[in-house]
Amino acid sequence: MYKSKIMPWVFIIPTLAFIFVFLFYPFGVNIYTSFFKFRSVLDQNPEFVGLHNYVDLIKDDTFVRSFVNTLILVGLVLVLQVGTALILALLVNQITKLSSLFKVTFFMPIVISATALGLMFNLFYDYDYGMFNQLLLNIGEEKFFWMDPANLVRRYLLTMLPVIWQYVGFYFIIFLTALYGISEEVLEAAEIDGCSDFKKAIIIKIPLLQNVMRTVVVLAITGTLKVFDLPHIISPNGYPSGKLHVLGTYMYEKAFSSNQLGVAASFAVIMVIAGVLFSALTNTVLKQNKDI
Amino acid sequence: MKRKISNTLIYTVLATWMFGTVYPFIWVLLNSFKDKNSIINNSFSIPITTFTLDNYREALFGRYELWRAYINSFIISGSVVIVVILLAVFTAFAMSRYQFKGKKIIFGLLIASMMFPIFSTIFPLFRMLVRLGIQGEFLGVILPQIAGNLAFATILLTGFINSLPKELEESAFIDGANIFQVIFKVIVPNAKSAISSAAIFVFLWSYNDLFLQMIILKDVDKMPISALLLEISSKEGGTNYGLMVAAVALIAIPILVLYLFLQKHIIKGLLAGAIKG
Repeated sequence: MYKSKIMPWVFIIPTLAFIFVFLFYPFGVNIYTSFFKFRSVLDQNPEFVGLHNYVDLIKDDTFVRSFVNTLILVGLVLVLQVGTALILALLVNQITKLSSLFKVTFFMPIVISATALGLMFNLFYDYDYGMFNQLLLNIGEEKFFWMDPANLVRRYLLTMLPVIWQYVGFYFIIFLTALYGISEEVLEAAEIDGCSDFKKAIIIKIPLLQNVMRTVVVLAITGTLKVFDLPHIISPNGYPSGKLHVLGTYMYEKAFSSNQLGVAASFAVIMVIAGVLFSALTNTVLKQNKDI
Repeated sequence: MKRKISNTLIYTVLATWMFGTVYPFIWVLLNSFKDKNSIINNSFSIPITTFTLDNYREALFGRYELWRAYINSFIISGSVVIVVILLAVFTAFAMSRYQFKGKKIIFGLLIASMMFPIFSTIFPLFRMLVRLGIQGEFLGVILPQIAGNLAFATILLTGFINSLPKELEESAFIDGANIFQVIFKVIVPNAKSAISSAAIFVFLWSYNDLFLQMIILKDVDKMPISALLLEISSKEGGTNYGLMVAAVALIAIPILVLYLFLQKHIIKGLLAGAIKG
Protein backbone atom coordinates (compact mmCIF):
# COMPACT_ATOMS: atom_id res chain seq x y z
CA MET A 1 0.00 0.00 0.00
CA TYR A 2 2.79 2.43 0.92
CA LYS A 3 5.59 1.32 -1.37
CA SER A 4 6.47 4.58 -3.10
CA LYS A 5 9.95 5.95 -2.37
CA ILE A 6 9.07 9.39 -3.73
CA MET A 7 5.72 10.16 -2.11
CA PRO A 8 7.01 10.46 1.48
CA TRP A 9 9.50 13.09 0.33
CA VAL A 10 6.78 15.00 -1.50
CA PHE A 11 4.95 15.21 1.82
CA ILE A 12 7.98 15.98 3.95
CA ILE A 13 9.94 18.44 1.85
CA PRO A 14 7.72 21.51 2.45
CA THR A 15 8.05 21.03 6.21
CA LEU A 16 11.80 20.52 5.97
CA ALA A 17 12.12 23.59 3.77
CA PHE A 18 10.36 25.77 6.34
CA ILE A 19 12.47 24.46 9.18
CA PHE A 20 15.74 24.86 7.29
CA VAL A 21 15.05 28.32 5.92
CA PHE A 22 13.57 29.88 9.06
CA LEU A 23 15.29 27.96 11.88
CA PHE A 24 18.47 26.05 11.02
CA TYR A 25 19.85 28.54 8.55
CA PRO A 26 19.35 31.64 10.74
CA PHE A 27 20.66 29.72 13.74
CA GLY A 28 23.86 28.95 11.84
CA VAL A 29 24.16 32.49 10.52
CA ASN A 30 23.70 33.79 14.06
CA ILE A 31 26.72 31.86 15.28
CA TYR A 32 28.74 33.14 12.30
CA THR A 33 27.51 36.71 12.89
CA SER A 34 28.66 36.61 16.48
CA PHE A 35 32.29 36.83 15.25
CA PHE A 36 31.76 40.07 13.33
CA LYS A 37 31.36 43.72 14.10
CA PHE A 38 28.42 45.44 12.39
CA ARG A 39 28.06 49.18 11.97
CA SER A 40 24.36 48.97 11.07
CA VAL A 41 21.67 46.30 10.88
CA LEU A 42 22.20 45.90 7.13
CA ASP A 43 25.98 46.47 7.11
CA GLN A 44 27.27 44.75 3.96
CA ASN A 45 30.91 44.53 5.04
CA PRO A 46 31.05 43.61 8.68
CA GLU A 47 34.53 43.32 10.15
CA PHE A 48 35.76 39.99 11.52
CA VAL A 49 36.63 40.42 15.18
CA GLY A 50 36.93 36.84 16.44
CA LEU A 51 35.79 36.43 20.01
CA HIS A 52 35.86 40.16 20.62
CA ASN A 53 32.06 40.44 20.94
CA TYR A 54 32.05 37.76 23.61
CA VAL A 55 34.83 39.46 25.54
CA ASP A 56 33.02 42.80 25.25
CA LEU A 57 29.87 41.29 26.64
CA ILE A 58 31.55 39.64 29.59
CA LYS A 59 33.21 42.95 30.45
CA ASP A 60 29.88 44.78 30.21
CA ASP A 61 28.50 45.49 33.70
CA THR A 62 24.89 45.52 32.56
CA PHE A 63 25.34 42.12 30.93
CA VAL A 64 26.76 40.70 34.13
CA ARG A 65 23.90 42.26 36.03
CA SER A 66 21.29 40.87 33.64
CA PHE A 67 22.92 37.47 33.97
CA VAL A 68 22.85 37.65 37.77
CA ASN A 69 19.25 38.92 37.72
CA THR A 70 18.31 35.95 35.56
CA LEU A 71 20.13 33.49 37.84
CA ILE A 72 18.32 34.88 40.88
CA LEU A 73 15.09 34.53 38.96
CA VAL A 74 15.94 30.90 38.21
CA GLY A 75 16.39 30.36 41.95
CA LEU A 76 13.11 32.07 42.78
CA VAL A 77 11.30 30.11 40.10
CA LEU A 78 12.66 26.79 41.37
CA VAL A 79 11.82 27.50 44.99
CA LEU A 80 8.62 29.53 44.77
CA GLN A 81 7.05 28.46 41.49
CA VAL A 82 7.97 24.78 41.40
CA GLY A 83 7.60 24.57 45.20
CA THR A 84 4.12 26.08 45.19
CA ALA A 85 3.13 23.86 42.27
CA LEU A 86 4.31 20.77 44.14
CA ILE A 87 2.45 21.69 47.32
CA LEU A 88 -0.74 22.49 45.43
CA ALA A 89 -0.52 19.22 43.49
CA LEU A 90 -0.04 17.20 46.69
CA LEU A 91 -3.03 18.95 48.23
CA VAL A 92 -5.31 18.43 45.21
CA ASN A 93 -4.16 14.80 45.17
CA GLN A 94 -5.58 14.49 48.72
CA ILE A 95 -9.09 15.69 47.97
CA THR A 96 -11.97 14.14 46.08
CA LYS A 97 -14.29 17.05 45.38
CA LEU A 98 -13.69 20.12 43.19
CA SER A 99 -10.33 18.94 41.90
CA SER A 100 -11.24 19.70 38.29
CA LEU A 101 -12.30 23.22 39.26
CA PHE A 102 -8.89 23.78 40.82
CA LYS A 103 -7.18 22.35 37.77
CA VAL A 104 -9.02 24.64 35.37
CA THR A 105 -8.51 27.79 37.44
CA PHE A 106 -4.87 27.17 38.40
CA PHE A 107 -3.95 26.64 34.76
CA MET A 108 -5.83 29.67 33.49
CA PRO A 109 -3.09 32.36 33.66
CA ILE A 110 -0.93 30.31 31.31
CA VAL A 111 -3.18 30.78 28.31
CA ILE A 112 -3.27 34.56 28.69
CA SER A 113 -0.60 36.51 26.85
CA ALA A 114 2.21 37.82 28.99
CA THR A 115 1.58 41.23 27.42
CA ALA A 116 -1.90 41.39 28.93
CA LEU A 117 -0.61 40.08 32.27
CA GLY A 118 2.18 42.65 32.37
CA LEU A 119 -0.20 45.52 31.75
CA MET A 120 -2.59 44.07 34.30
CA PHE A 121 0.10 44.00 36.99
CA ASN A 122 1.06 47.55 36.06
CA LEU A 123 -2.53 48.50 36.88
CA PHE A 124 -2.18 46.76 40.26
CA TYR A 125 1.12 48.42 41.17
CA ASP A 126 0.27 51.92 39.96
CA TYR A 127 0.91 54.55 42.65
CA ASP A 128 -1.95 56.96 41.98
CA TYR A 129 -4.90 54.66 41.45
CA GLY A 130 -3.54 51.13 41.36
CA MET A 131 -5.46 48.23 42.87
CA PHE A 132 -3.01 47.64 45.71
CA ASN A 133 -3.06 51.25 46.82
CA GLN A 134 -6.84 51.42 46.64
CA LEU A 135 -6.90 48.40 48.88
CA LEU A 136 -4.57 50.16 51.33
CA LEU A 137 -6.74 53.30 51.28
CA ASN A 138 -9.85 51.18 51.87
CA ILE A 139 -8.41 49.73 55.05
CA GLY A 140 -7.30 53.16 56.20
CA GLU A 141 -3.61 52.94 55.34
CA GLU A 142 -1.48 55.38 53.38
CA LYS A 143 -0.58 54.87 49.75
CA PHE A 144 2.63 53.01 49.16
CA PHE A 145 5.19 53.52 46.37
CA TRP A 146 5.36 49.86 45.31
CA MET A 147 7.61 50.30 42.31
CA ASP A 148 10.01 52.78 43.91
CA PRO A 149 13.14 52.55 41.73
CA ALA A 150 15.24 53.45 44.76
CA ASN A 151 14.31 50.14 46.34
CA LEU A 152 15.80 47.80 43.76
CA VAL A 153 15.13 44.58 45.60
CA ARG A 154 11.43 45.26 45.99
CA ARG A 155 11.05 46.48 42.44
CA TYR A 156 12.85 43.39 41.18
CA LEU A 157 10.61 41.08 43.19
CA LEU A 158 7.44 42.83 42.05
CA THR A 159 8.60 42.72 38.42
CA MET A 160 9.19 38.99 38.70
CA LEU A 161 6.07 38.21 40.73
CA PRO A 162 3.82 37.70 37.66
CA VAL A 163 6.55 35.63 35.96
CA ILE A 164 6.47 33.27 38.92
CA TRP A 165 2.70 33.43 39.43
CA GLN A 166 1.77 32.73 35.81
CA TYR A 167 3.37 29.30 35.42
CA VAL A 168 2.63 27.71 38.81
CA GLY A 169 -0.42 26.03 37.24
CA PHE A 170 1.68 24.50 34.49
CA TYR A 171 4.00 22.59 36.80
CA PHE A 172 1.04 21.89 39.08
CA ILE A 173 -0.64 19.96 36.24
CA ILE A 174 2.56 18.05 35.46
CA PHE A 175 3.00 17.05 39.10
CA LEU A 176 -0.66 16.19 39.53
CA THR A 177 -0.69 13.97 36.44
CA ALA A 178 2.33 12.12 37.85
CA LEU A 179 0.76 11.82 41.30
CA TYR A 180 -2.37 10.25 39.83
CA GLY A 181 -0.05 7.69 38.26
CA ILE A 182 1.34 6.43 41.59
CA SER A 183 0.00 2.95 42.24
CA GLU A 184 -2.72 2.59 44.85
CA GLU A 185 -1.05 -0.51 46.26
CA VAL A 186 2.00 1.34 47.50
CA LEU A 187 -0.12 3.96 49.19
CA GLU A 188 -2.46 1.40 50.75
CA ALA A 189 0.47 -0.55 52.13
CA ALA A 190 1.76 2.62 53.74
CA GLU A 191 -1.64 3.34 55.20
CA ILE A 192 -1.82 -0.12 56.78
CA ASP A 193 1.59 0.58 58.32
CA GLY A 194 0.03 3.62 59.95
CA CYS A 195 1.52 6.31 57.75
CA SER A 196 -0.15 9.73 58.05
CA ASP A 197 -1.06 11.66 54.88
CA PHE A 198 1.77 14.07 55.52
CA LYS A 199 4.31 11.31 56.00
CA LYS A 200 3.03 9.54 52.90
CA ALA A 201 3.64 12.68 50.86
CA ILE A 202 7.17 13.14 52.20
CA ILE A 203 8.48 9.59 52.14
CA ILE A 204 6.53 8.04 49.25
CA LYS A 205 5.05 10.55 46.85
CA ILE A 206 7.84 13.11 46.57
CA PRO A 207 10.61 10.53 46.02
CA LEU A 208 8.45 8.89 43.34
CA LEU A 209 8.27 12.24 41.55
CA GLN A 210 12.03 12.29 41.00
CA ASN A 211 11.93 11.77 37.23
CA VAL A 212 9.12 14.25 36.74
CA MET A 213 10.97 16.70 38.95
CA ARG A 214 13.94 16.45 36.65
CA THR A 215 11.83 17.35 33.60
CA VAL A 216 10.18 20.18 35.51
CA VAL A 217 13.49 21.64 36.67
CA VAL A 218 14.91 21.58 33.14
CA LEU A 219 11.76 23.21 31.76
CA ALA A 220 11.72 25.82 34.51
CA ILE A 221 15.38 26.74 33.98
CA THR A 222 15.34 26.88 30.18
CA GLY A 223 12.01 28.74 30.29
CA THR A 224 13.37 31.29 32.76
CA LEU A 225 16.49 31.98 30.68
CA LYS A 226 14.13 33.08 27.88
CA VAL A 227 11.90 35.36 29.94
CA PHE A 228 11.24 38.56 28.06
CA ASP A 229 7.67 39.88 27.85
CA LEU A 230 6.82 40.54 31.49
CA PRO A 231 10.04 42.29 32.58
CA HIS A 232 10.03 44.22 29.29
CA ILE A 233 6.57 45.57 30.08
CA ILE A 234 6.84 46.11 33.84
CA SER A 235 10.37 47.51 34.05
CA PRO A 236 11.11 48.63 30.46
CA ASN A 237 14.78 48.77 29.43
CA GLY A 238 15.72 47.34 32.80
CA TYR A 239 14.47 50.51 34.50
CA PRO A 240 16.06 52.06 36.54
CA SER A 241 19.12 52.54 34.31
CA GLY A 242 19.40 48.93 33.18
CA LYS A 243 19.66 47.59 36.70
CA LEU A 244 16.63 45.31 36.33
CA HIS A 245 17.49 43.82 32.97
CA VAL A 246 17.24 40.09 32.47
CA LEU A 247 19.05 38.31 29.63
CA GLY A 248 16.13 38.53 27.21
CA THR A 249 15.41 42.20 27.69
CA TYR A 250 19.04 43.28 27.59
CA MET A 251 19.69 41.33 24.43
CA TYR A 252 16.71 43.03 22.84
CA GLU A 253 17.98 46.44 23.87
CA LYS A 254 21.48 45.69 22.60
CA ALA A 255 20.25 44.64 19.20
CA PHE A 256 17.44 47.01 18.46
CA SER A 257 18.33 50.23 20.17
CA SER A 258 22.08 50.29 20.16
CA ASN A 259 22.59 48.56 16.82
CA GLN A 260 25.27 46.19 18.00
CA LEU A 261 24.22 43.23 15.96
CA GLY A 262 27.39 41.19 16.41
CA VAL A 263 27.32 41.63 20.16
CA ALA A 264 23.63 40.71 20.25
CA ALA A 265 24.36 37.59 18.18
CA SER A 266 27.04 36.48 20.61
CA PHE A 267 24.56 37.27 23.38
CA ALA A 268 22.10 34.82 21.81
CA VAL A 269 24.81 32.18 21.50
CA ILE A 270 25.68 32.60 25.19
CA MET A 271 22.00 32.18 26.10
CA VAL A 272 21.75 28.95 24.12
CA ILE A 273 24.97 27.64 25.68
CA ALA A 274 23.72 28.58 29.14
CA GLY A 275 20.48 26.71 28.47
CA VAL A 276 22.31 23.58 27.33
CA LEU A 277 24.76 23.73 30.27
CA PHE A 278 22.00 24.18 32.83
CA SER A 279 20.00 21.30 31.39
CA ALA A 280 23.08 19.06 31.41
CA LEU A 281 23.85 20.11 34.98
CA THR A 282 20.30 19.35 36.12
CA ASN A 283 20.41 15.97 34.46
CA THR A 284 23.63 15.13 36.27
CA VAL A 285 22.49 16.37 39.66
CA LEU A 286 19.02 14.87 39.46
CA LYS A 287 19.83 11.46 38.03
CA GLN A 288 17.15 9.56 36.21
CA ASN A 289 15.85 6.81 38.42
CA LYS A 290 15.02 3.85 36.18
CA ASP A 291 13.34 1.95 39.01
CA ILE A 292 10.30 4.23 39.10
CA MET B 1 -12.52 14.81 63.33
CA LYS B 2 -8.84 15.26 62.62
CA ARG B 3 -9.52 14.36 59.01
CA LYS B 4 -12.18 17.06 58.82
CA ILE B 5 -9.87 19.77 60.11
CA SER B 6 -7.10 18.88 57.72
CA ASN B 7 -9.57 18.76 54.83
CA THR B 8 -10.85 22.21 55.71
CA LEU B 9 -7.28 23.46 55.78
CA ILE B 10 -6.55 21.92 52.38
CA TYR B 11 -9.63 23.45 50.80
CA THR B 12 -8.78 26.82 52.33
CA VAL B 13 -5.29 26.80 50.86
CA LEU B 14 -6.53 25.69 47.45
CA ALA B 15 -9.37 28.22 47.45
CA THR B 16 -6.90 30.97 48.33
CA TRP B 17 -4.68 30.15 45.38
CA MET B 18 -7.74 29.91 43.14
CA PHE B 19 -8.76 33.38 44.28
CA GLY B 20 -5.25 34.57 43.44
CA THR B 21 -5.46 33.23 39.90
CA VAL B 22 -9.05 34.19 39.11
CA TYR B 23 -9.63 37.47 40.93
CA PRO B 24 -7.15 39.54 38.87
CA PHE B 25 -9.13 38.72 35.73
CA ILE B 26 -12.45 39.42 37.42
CA TRP B 27 -11.08 42.75 38.61
CA VAL B 28 -10.05 43.67 35.07
CA LEU B 29 -13.38 42.57 33.65
CA LEU B 30 -15.46 44.47 36.22
CA ASN B 31 -13.46 47.64 35.81
CA SER B 32 -13.64 47.51 32.05
CA PHE B 33 -17.34 48.30 32.40
CA LYS B 34 -16.84 51.37 34.60
CA ASP B 35 -16.06 54.97 33.75
CA LYS B 36 -12.66 56.33 34.63
CA ASN B 37 -13.79 57.97 37.86
CA SER B 38 -15.18 54.87 39.44
CA ILE B 39 -12.11 52.88 38.39
CA ILE B 40 -9.78 55.25 40.16
CA ASN B 41 -12.04 55.83 43.16
CA ASN B 42 -13.40 52.40 43.85
CA SER B 43 -12.02 49.66 41.67
CA PHE B 44 -13.57 46.97 43.87
CA SER B 45 -17.17 47.97 43.30
CA ILE B 46 -19.47 46.04 41.00
CA PRO B 47 -20.55 48.15 38.03
CA ILE B 48 -24.32 48.23 38.40
CA THR B 49 -25.20 51.91 38.50
CA THR B 50 -22.00 52.92 36.77
CA PHE B 51 -22.18 50.37 33.95
CA THR B 52 -20.79 51.66 30.67
CA LEU B 53 -19.41 50.32 27.42
CA ASP B 54 -17.47 53.51 26.69
CA ASN B 55 -14.09 51.92 27.43
CA TYR B 56 -14.71 49.21 24.89
CA ARG B 57 -16.00 51.73 22.39
CA GLU B 58 -12.89 53.84 22.85
CA ALA B 59 -10.55 50.84 22.67
CA LEU B 60 -12.13 49.21 19.66
CA PHE B 61 -13.14 52.21 17.56
CA GLY B 62 -11.25 55.13 19.09
CA ARG B 63 -7.83 56.41 18.11
CA TYR B 64 -6.14 53.02 18.28
CA GLU B 65 -8.81 50.98 16.51
CA LEU B 66 -8.21 47.71 18.31
CA TRP B 67 -10.78 46.03 16.06
CA ARG B 68 -8.22 46.27 13.31
CA ALA B 69 -5.61 44.62 15.55
CA TYR B 70 -8.08 41.81 16.15
CA ILE B 71 -8.42 41.26 12.43
CA ASN B 72 -4.64 41.43 12.02
CA SER B 73 -4.19 38.89 14.81
CA PHE B 74 -6.73 36.54 13.29
CA ILE B 75 -5.24 36.85 9.80
CA ILE B 76 -1.76 36.11 11.15
CA SER B 77 -2.63 33.37 13.61
CA GLY B 78 -5.30 31.88 11.35
CA SER B 79 -2.87 31.55 8.44
CA VAL B 80 -0.23 30.08 10.71
CA VAL B 81 -2.66 27.47 12.04
CA ILE B 82 -3.95 26.49 8.60
CA VAL B 83 -0.53 26.08 6.99
CA VAL B 84 1.00 24.35 10.02
CA ILE B 85 -1.83 21.84 10.28
CA LEU B 86 -1.87 21.13 6.55
CA LEU B 87 1.89 20.57 6.30
CA ALA B 88 2.01 18.71 9.60
CA VAL B 89 -0.74 16.31 8.51
CA PHE B 90 1.19 15.53 5.29
CA THR B 91 4.49 15.09 7.11
CA ALA B 92 3.02 13.09 9.96
CA PHE B 93 1.22 10.85 7.46
CA ALA B 94 4.47 10.18 5.59
CA MET B 95 6.44 9.63 8.80
CA SER B 96 3.85 7.24 10.12
CA ARG B 97 2.95 5.20 7.02
CA TYR B 98 6.04 5.01 4.79
CA GLN B 99 9.34 3.27 5.40
CA PHE B 100 12.19 5.23 3.86
CA LYS B 101 15.85 6.00 4.35
CA GLY B 102 16.59 8.98 6.54
CA LYS B 103 13.38 8.78 8.53
CA LYS B 104 15.27 8.70 11.83
CA ILE B 105 17.38 11.67 10.82
CA ILE B 106 14.28 13.67 9.93
CA PHE B 107 12.73 12.85 13.24
CA GLY B 108 15.89 14.05 14.96
CA LEU B 109 15.85 17.28 12.95
CA LEU B 110 12.25 17.89 13.94
CA ILE B 111 13.05 17.41 17.62
CA ALA B 112 16.12 19.64 17.35
CA SER B 113 14.13 22.39 15.67
CA MET B 114 11.87 22.63 18.72
CA MET B 115 14.83 23.61 20.87
CA PHE B 116 15.74 26.87 19.16
CA PRO B 117 14.67 29.87 21.19
CA ILE B 118 13.54 32.75 18.99
CA PHE B 119 16.50 34.80 20.32
CA SER B 120 18.98 32.56 18.60
CA THR B 121 17.51 33.13 15.14
CA ILE B 122 15.99 36.59 15.27
CA PHE B 123 18.85 38.72 13.87
CA PRO B 124 19.60 36.69 10.74
CA LEU B 125 15.86 36.22 10.35
CA PHE B 126 15.31 39.95 10.48
CA ARG B 127 17.89 40.59 7.78
CA MET B 128 16.51 37.77 5.67
CA LEU B 129 13.02 39.26 5.88
CA VAL B 130 14.38 42.65 4.86
CA ARG B 131 16.05 41.09 1.81
CA LEU B 132 12.87 39.22 0.92
CA GLY B 133 10.97 42.49 1.21
CA ILE B 134 8.52 41.15 3.76
CA GLN B 135 9.93 42.81 6.86
CA GLY B 136 7.04 44.82 8.30
CA GLU B 137 4.47 42.67 6.50
CA PHE B 138 2.17 39.96 7.87
CA LEU B 139 4.15 37.36 5.94
CA GLY B 140 7.26 38.37 7.86
CA VAL B 141 5.59 37.10 11.04
CA ILE B 142 3.58 34.27 9.48
CA LEU B 143 6.46 32.40 7.82
CA PRO B 144 8.77 32.21 10.86
CA GLN B 145 5.83 31.30 13.10
CA ILE B 146 4.91 28.46 10.75
CA ALA B 147 8.46 27.15 10.95
CA GLY B 148 8.48 27.53 14.73
CA ASN B 149 5.31 25.47 15.21
CA LEU B 150 5.66 22.81 12.52
CA ALA B 151 7.82 20.38 14.44
CA PHE B 152 5.58 20.35 17.46
CA ALA B 153 2.42 19.76 15.41
CA THR B 154 4.12 17.11 13.27
CA ILE B 155 5.39 15.13 16.24
CA LEU B 156 2.04 15.29 18.01
CA LEU B 157 0.19 14.12 14.89
CA THR B 158 2.74 11.42 14.00
CA GLY B 159 2.20 9.85 17.39
CA PHE B 160 -1.52 9.91 16.85
CA ILE B 161 -1.56 8.59 13.27
CA ASN B 162 0.75 5.77 14.36
CA SER B 163 -2.01 4.64 16.68
CA LEU B 164 -4.57 4.50 13.85
CA PRO B 165 -4.81 1.01 12.29
CA LYS B 166 -3.78 0.78 8.63
CA GLU B 167 -6.93 -1.22 7.85
CA LEU B 168 -8.75 2.10 8.01
CA GLU B 169 -7.23 3.18 4.69
CA GLU B 170 -7.11 -0.23 3.05
CA SER B 171 -10.71 -0.35 1.90
CA ALA B 172 -10.51 3.22 0.65
CA PHE B 173 -7.49 2.28 -1.50
CA ILE B 174 -9.28 -0.82 -2.77
CA ASP B 175 -12.22 1.37 -3.77
CA GLY B 176 -9.76 3.29 -5.91
CA ALA B 177 -9.21 6.38 -3.79
CA ASN B 178 -5.97 8.28 -4.44
CA ILE B 179 -3.57 9.19 -1.69
CA PHE B 180 -4.96 12.69 -1.12
CA GLN B 181 -8.49 11.34 -0.83
CA VAL B 182 -7.23 8.87 1.74
CA ILE B 183 -5.56 11.63 3.75
CA PHE B 184 -8.52 14.01 3.71
CA LYS B 185 -11.39 11.52 3.85
CA VAL B 186 -9.91 8.85 6.14
CA ILE B 187 -6.92 10.09 8.13
CA VAL B 188 -8.07 13.62 8.90
CA PRO B 189 -11.56 12.70 10.19
CA ASN B 190 -10.05 10.00 12.38
CA ALA B 191 -7.33 12.25 13.76
CA LYS B 192 -9.72 15.09 14.54
CA SER B 193 -9.01 15.22 18.27
CA ALA B 194 -5.22 15.35 17.85
CA ILE B 195 -5.56 17.90 15.07
CA SER B 196 -7.69 20.17 17.22
CA SER B 197 -5.23 19.88 20.12
CA ALA B 198 -2.40 20.89 17.82
CA ALA B 199 -4.42 23.66 16.17
CA ILE B 200 -5.48 25.27 19.45
CA PHE B 201 -1.98 25.16 20.78
CA VAL B 202 -0.49 26.69 17.64
CA PHE B 203 -3.15 29.38 17.69
CA LEU B 204 -2.48 30.27 21.32
CA TRP B 205 1.22 30.38 20.80
CA SER B 206 0.92 32.61 17.77
CA TYR B 207 -1.75 34.91 19.22
CA ASN B 208 0.15 35.45 22.48
CA ASP B 209 3.55 36.00 20.90
CA LEU B 210 4.99 39.44 21.47
CA PHE B 211 8.70 39.29 20.69
CA LEU B 212 8.58 38.44 17.01
CA GLN B 213 5.51 40.54 16.26
CA MET B 214 6.87 43.61 17.92
CA ILE B 215 10.18 43.37 16.09
CA ILE B 216 8.76 42.69 12.65
CA LEU B 217 5.58 44.78 12.61
CA LYS B 218 6.34 48.41 13.37
CA ASP B 219 3.41 49.92 11.49
CA VAL B 220 0.50 50.57 13.88
CA ASP B 221 -2.06 49.60 11.22
CA LYS B 222 -0.52 46.18 10.85
CA MET B 223 0.05 45.41 14.52
CA PRO B 224 -1.66 42.37 15.97
CA ILE B 225 -3.29 42.73 19.33
CA SER B 226 -0.31 42.08 21.66
CA ALA B 227 1.96 44.54 19.91
CA LEU B 228 -0.72 47.23 19.69
CA LEU B 229 -1.59 46.79 23.35
CA LEU B 230 2.01 47.48 24.29
CA GLU B 231 2.01 50.50 22.00
CA ILE B 232 -1.13 51.87 23.66
CA SER B 233 0.29 51.30 27.11
CA SER B 234 3.52 53.09 26.32
CA LYS B 235 1.50 56.14 25.24
CA GLU B 236 -1.46 56.10 27.64
CA GLY B 237 -0.59 53.55 30.30
CA GLY B 238 -0.26 55.96 33.18
CA THR B 239 -3.34 58.06 32.51
CA ASN B 240 -6.16 56.40 30.65
CA TYR B 241 -7.25 53.66 33.03
CA GLY B 242 -10.54 52.92 31.30
CA LEU B 243 -8.86 52.35 27.97
CA MET B 244 -6.16 50.19 29.56
CA VAL B 245 -8.52 47.82 31.40
CA ALA B 246 -10.72 47.46 28.34
CA ALA B 247 -7.68 46.74 26.16
CA VAL B 248 -6.38 44.12 28.58
CA ALA B 249 -9.84 42.56 28.75
CA LEU B 250 -10.11 42.55 24.96
CA ILE B 251 -6.89 40.63 24.47
CA ALA B 252 -7.77 38.11 27.19
CA ILE B 253 -11.49 37.51 26.57
CA PRO B 254 -11.29 35.49 23.32
CA ILE B 255 -8.61 33.29 24.85
CA LEU B 256 -10.49 32.81 28.11
CA VAL B 257 -13.64 31.83 26.21
CA LEU B 258 -11.63 29.45 24.05
CA TYR B 259 -9.99 28.06 27.17
CA LEU B 260 -13.21 27.46 29.08
CA PHE B 261 -14.69 25.51 26.17
CA LEU B 262 -11.61 23.58 25.16
CA GLN B 263 -9.57 23.34 28.35
CA LYS B 264 -8.97 19.59 28.04
CA HIS B 265 -7.43 19.97 24.59
CA ILE B 266 -5.44 23.01 25.65
CA ILE B 267 -3.95 21.44 28.77
CA LYS B 268 -3.02 18.31 26.81
CA GLY B 269 -1.50 20.32 23.95
CA LEU B 270 0.54 22.59 26.19
CA LEU B 271 1.93 19.65 28.11
CA ALA B 272 2.93 18.02 24.83
CA GLY B 273 4.51 21.27 23.67
CA ALA B 274 6.41 21.79 26.88
CA ILE B 275 9.82 21.11 25.38
CA LYS B 276 9.30 23.62 22.60
CA GLY B 277 11.81 26.51 22.36
